[in-house]
This record gives sequence, C-alpha cells and structure tokens, in this order.
Amino acid sequence: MNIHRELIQIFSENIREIMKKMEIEEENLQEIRMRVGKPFLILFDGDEYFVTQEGELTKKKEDGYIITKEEMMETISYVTHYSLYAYEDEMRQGFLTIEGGHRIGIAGKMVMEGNKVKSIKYISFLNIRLTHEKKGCANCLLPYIIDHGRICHTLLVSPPRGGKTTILRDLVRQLSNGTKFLQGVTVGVVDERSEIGGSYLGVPQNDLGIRTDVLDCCPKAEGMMMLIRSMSPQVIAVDEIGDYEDSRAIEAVMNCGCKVIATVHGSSIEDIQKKPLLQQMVTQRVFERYVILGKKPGKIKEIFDERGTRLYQEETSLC
Amino acid sequence: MLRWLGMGVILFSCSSIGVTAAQKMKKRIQNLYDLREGMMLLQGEIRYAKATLPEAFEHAGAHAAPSCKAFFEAVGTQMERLETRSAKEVLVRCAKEELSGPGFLREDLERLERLGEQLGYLDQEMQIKGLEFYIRQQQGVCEEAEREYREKARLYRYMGIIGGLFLVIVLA
Repeated sequence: MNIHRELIQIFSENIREIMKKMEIEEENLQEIRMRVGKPFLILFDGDEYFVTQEGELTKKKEDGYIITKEEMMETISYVTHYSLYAYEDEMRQGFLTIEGGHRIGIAGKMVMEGNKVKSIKYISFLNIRLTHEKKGCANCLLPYIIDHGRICHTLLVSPPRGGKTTILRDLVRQLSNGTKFLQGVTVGVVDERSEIGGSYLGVPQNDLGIRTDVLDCCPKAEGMMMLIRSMSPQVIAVDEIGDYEDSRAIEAVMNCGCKVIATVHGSSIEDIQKKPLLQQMVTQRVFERYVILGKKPGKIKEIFDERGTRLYQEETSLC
Repeated sequence: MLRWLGMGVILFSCSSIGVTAAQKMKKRIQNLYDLREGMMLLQGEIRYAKATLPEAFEHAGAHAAPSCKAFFEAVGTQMERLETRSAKEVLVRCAKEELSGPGFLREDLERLERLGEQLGYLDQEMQIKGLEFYIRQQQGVCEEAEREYREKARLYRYMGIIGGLFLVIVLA
C-alpha cells in the first residue's frame, strides 16, 4: 500500500480494505471513479483500470469490484466528515475539496429551486481527482514570462487535464520564493475551486511559496479586487477565467500595476480567439504571454507574445 | 469513651451520605448547564462558521466548561479519524466515556444519543434547529433538576442526620 492514509480514510470500509491491498504509487494515481452499481475504476499513469476485490488492477470490467449504494453513502459521509451541510455551497457547484487538496466531483439527482440548483441528492457518482504537486515543472517557462526582470501578464491555455493548474501552482511558488531570474514577489491567489492551493481549513496544502496570500473558495472577480485592496500583491494568480466579470476584474488589476497570471480552457491561440471574451482580450493585447500546453499533461506546445509572435514551439528546446 | 467515639462516627457517616446525595444533585445541575452551554457554542460554530462537526466540536471544546470539555474534544478528535459510520456512534461512545460519571444520569446520555441521530443530517438549518431543540429541552431539564434540588436537598441532608441519630439511639 502506497496511498496516504488520509486519502484512504475517505472511502467506505470495504473500499479502504481494497485500497490497502493496491500495490500502486499514489504519485501516478490520477483519478478514482465510483459509480453505484458499476465497477470501481481508477485512472493510473494515464490509463484506465478496474480494481478487483483483491486490489489488483485489471482491464476486464467483469472482474471489477461493484460499488453499492451503501458504500457510496458511507463514502459521502466520510468525505464530508459527517457534515453534508458544511459543503452545501460546494455541492451546488458539483465538487468539493478535501484535505490534501484533492477534488471530489459529485453527480446525482439535482434539487432545483426555480432555475437554480439548491442541492444534490441521491449522490451516485464520485470522481476523486488527485492533486499532484510537481515542483519545478515551470522551471523552463520562467525565462519566457520574465522579461528584463519584470513579470509579464501571462495566460496559460490548455484543455482539461492538460496540467495548467499544476504549472500555475509551480509558477506561483517560484515567483513567491524567488528564482535566479527574479527576487521573490508578493503573490495573491484567488483560488475559487481550491485547486491551486488545495486549502483545507484555510491553510494551503500545496506549497505556494513564502510570499503568497490565498483567498480560498472566493469568486475570482470579487477576490482579485479584495486582494488588491487588502494584501497589495505584485502578482495575482487565478485559475480558469471564464466570464466578462473576470475580464473586467483582470483589467482593473492590471491598471493597479499588478501582474496577472491566469489559465483558461482551450487548445490553441486560434481556439481561444473564437471565444468572444478571450478574442477581445487578445485583440486588446491584455496579456503579454500566451502559453499553450500540449496534449501530454504539463508539456508546453507554444509560447506567444502579445503581438502573436511565436517565442517557442514544441520542436525547439524550452530550457 | 470508645462508645461515644463510635456514636460520633455513625452520626458523621450518615450525615455525610445525605450531604453527598444533595451535592450530587447540585453537581448534575451544573453539568447540565455546562453541557447546554457547550451545545450553544457548537450551534454558534455551525451557524457562524459553517464548521464541520469535528471542527465545531473541537472549537466548542476549547471554550467549554471543565465538566464537559473532555467530551467535546473527544468527539471532535474521534470524528476527525473517520472510524465510525455515523456521527451518532461517536457521540454515544464519547458520552459513555466522558460523561458517565456521577454527575450525569442515564436519561441525560439518552438525550445526547437522540441529538446524535440528527447531527449531520440534511442542511445547516436542520443542524441549528436540532441543536435549538436540544438546548430548549436541556433548559427544561435544568429547571426541573433545580426544582428537585430545592425540594429534596434539604430532605436528604436531614434524613442523613436523622438516620444517624436513629442508629445511634438503637445501638445505644
């Protein structure tokens, strides 16, 4: 067993026993999927496997351990520390973050109030996405986003699971601690989904550096303005910008002389230009660097400057 | 001389039994009030900070009166370990371990058990209402215990002394 006790404890007793028997490294474990009446499934090292009662990984679905409704209920009870009420807001968004920064996606029957999601019941699907800190994964990126000793406004672009949050996290850590290119700066992180810091009880579980302040579970636009007013950061980092409110807040932050590092879903510079919000930002040259991540997680495909000049592409050496 | 000494011992022992019984009643009243106060702290933690049960119990324990401090802290710590299937199991176990002394009656523990069935169930409002109900109920129990104390404490003390005198007379 090479999986942390804290992670195993969130599962029902039967699944705990199975996981204790699993001979895998947690570092390569990416996702754990539970669906009522369906086999127990994991995403390990980029590949999908069913888990047998004996804790062995198999490709045969009929050998997979079947998750029961009771096990799902028990797991929910542990995940929420017997306190479903404390996660009402997170549940409405469809996920919650647990100790260690792991994110648990949930699905089931939604309870609506008017047009809004009030809560969720009959939770029948769980997706436990494990967070992994990859210290140093942004090393090669730093010379491209630090220009003559100043940090550039940077947008990291990648499809889901592309590793943009992992790279953002490492960038935050390195800018905060200081690197050979730059002395440490004060960084403010608005961590709306608790993915960057993986905060638990307000304390980031991931290393975000010594000069980093985190606003956990705070809406991005509101959080950016709060940080500007209260913590005077030199850099603000946000994950997955998506609406006009975020865009306006980013502009306000930039006008305050603060640098912004953000991420967004997309696969190429052309792809993000198709989205009205981002097209406007590209046209207005809001960001000075666009970092496009490749198909392999964490792999950088291209880097552009604000004029669209390619500074790097996959074939050349990044470092 | 020895006879007088014996009579003194009997009288003292019987009086002590009466006084102890009265003190036990008084201690229970204090404990019930302390537990009620602890539950109010717990309610505050859930209402204000929307804290999870382990966190809320631990924080309430830090401010609770000495008579139930250990109970709140133990519930918080044991819930954090996620070793039981429900919050109720932890609450019952800790109540038996930490509150089963002479200052609490079985019915006091049963009320806690009923509270345990509601804790963690549904939304925040449900938790607050469940705790409100318990606090109100506990207030009633405290008042009842006080009334009982006023009625019976003096009686127990006198009964102890009278019982001692009676034994002395009989044995003399």
